[in-house]
Amino acid sequence: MIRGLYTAATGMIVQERKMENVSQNLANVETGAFKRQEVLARSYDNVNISNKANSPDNRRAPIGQLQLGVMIDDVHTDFDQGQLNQTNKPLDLAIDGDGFFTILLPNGQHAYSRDGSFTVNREGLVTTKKGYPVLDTQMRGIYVDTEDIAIDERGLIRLADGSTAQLNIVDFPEIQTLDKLGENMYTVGVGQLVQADEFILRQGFLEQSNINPLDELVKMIEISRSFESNQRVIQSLDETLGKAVNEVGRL
Amino acid sequence: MIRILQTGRTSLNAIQTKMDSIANNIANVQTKGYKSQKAEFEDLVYDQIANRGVPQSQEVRESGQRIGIGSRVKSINKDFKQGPLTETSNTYDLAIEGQGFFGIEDGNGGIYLTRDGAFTMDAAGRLADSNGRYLVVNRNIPPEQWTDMDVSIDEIIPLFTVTDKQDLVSLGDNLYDIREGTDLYMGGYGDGLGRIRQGFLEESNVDLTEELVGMLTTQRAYELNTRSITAADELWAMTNNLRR
Repeated sequence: MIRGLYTAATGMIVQERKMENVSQNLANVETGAFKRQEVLARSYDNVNISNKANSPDNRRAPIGQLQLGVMIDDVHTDFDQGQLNQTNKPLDLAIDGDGFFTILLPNGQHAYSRDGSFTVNREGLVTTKKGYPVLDTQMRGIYVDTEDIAIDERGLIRLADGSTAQLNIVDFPEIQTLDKLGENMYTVGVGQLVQADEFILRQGFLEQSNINPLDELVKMIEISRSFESNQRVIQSLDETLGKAVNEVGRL
Repeated sequence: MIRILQTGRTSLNAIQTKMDSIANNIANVQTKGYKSQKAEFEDLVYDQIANRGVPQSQEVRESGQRIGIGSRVKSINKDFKQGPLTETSNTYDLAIEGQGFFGIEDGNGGIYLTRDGAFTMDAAGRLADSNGRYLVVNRNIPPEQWTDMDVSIDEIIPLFTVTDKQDLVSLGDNLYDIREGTDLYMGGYGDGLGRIRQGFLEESNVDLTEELVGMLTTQRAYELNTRSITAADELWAMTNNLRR
């Protein structure tokens, strides 16, 4: 009975984590190019259960195997395409397909983002709205004279003086190795990166969050009820324990 | 539970800010030369979650999985796209067709920028805005010559611009202040800053349909996020009721 208490408690903890994740998804329903996450749970490894009490010589009589709880296995990011909204601004770029823009962080490292709402800073450098430079294929910043630039659907920028710059759009064969950094960016730990190929760059569009509020609310109900079920299990175990303690031994 | 509440709180704050900016756009749908603003969002840093209560023997105990903790407003940027021009047939009404700004003397030797071209001629023959601040001109021309318009207006009135228009700070009164360290460029029609139209005013560039749709979605997004707070509240109540 006491073992069951802990099993139900692990269930409540995992459901709480799942709810945290749903609330994070809902919080980012307006965040540009946000990718929803999902918490995947799995049971504890099997443990052998044996019965000692009823055997005459106090030998262990194996009963079988049992799983005594649940835990978080993985947090999975769903990289489904978000909806593209037209904004008509020349520096609003959306990747229709697979790929990420390359961003230079202040610490010199590279980050990757699908949120293409860029701007031009006072030096004429193309940056994110937070001021981080957007890099070209030579890993340099891109200088433009004006915001009114033409970018083709492969990310080639044509400047007024006739020169060109190619946006560095990369993809990751093992996309789940990307870590979310916050500020709509990802970093890559061990995974490899390749030049993205299957995409069309849309100028004057922004990618929206890929959250579906309906899915999240249904999940919320499911989590809430599952949490409640676990809570009931603890309550009924408590009652049973109460009976065992107070009534079984009554003289 | 506390994390759920905090996540909900951060997003309610952010969505509230977006609603504020939409409200400001709608309030200025009739303001001459007003440029609409738009709030954009970003996610917050991600928290590593520990697998609490998991036996030591489980290898995923230190899983390194991360869950986010909400969202915030990334930027509120102005959209400087051209507003529609309406004819007023007032000779002192000017509108810029292009990306430049009028310069307005701030009285201390510096200048403010504006797109609002509703000027009046004062007794001294100088063009001033509705608050009596003077328009920056290359040379003054007498009022009688002004009404005839026998000189090119693009030569008389210079236009200004900055590299990064997001460096402009809205002051109210349709004026923009120039943030310190920003380079100011002066030019005119020949420099691609735009052409001045006399007898026209530039309307607000707020697209009312877009703002109203934005208001609906923002309101629903707000409502949606109150759900996660309600849910956290319910979970917490159930936890508190574990022992009856």
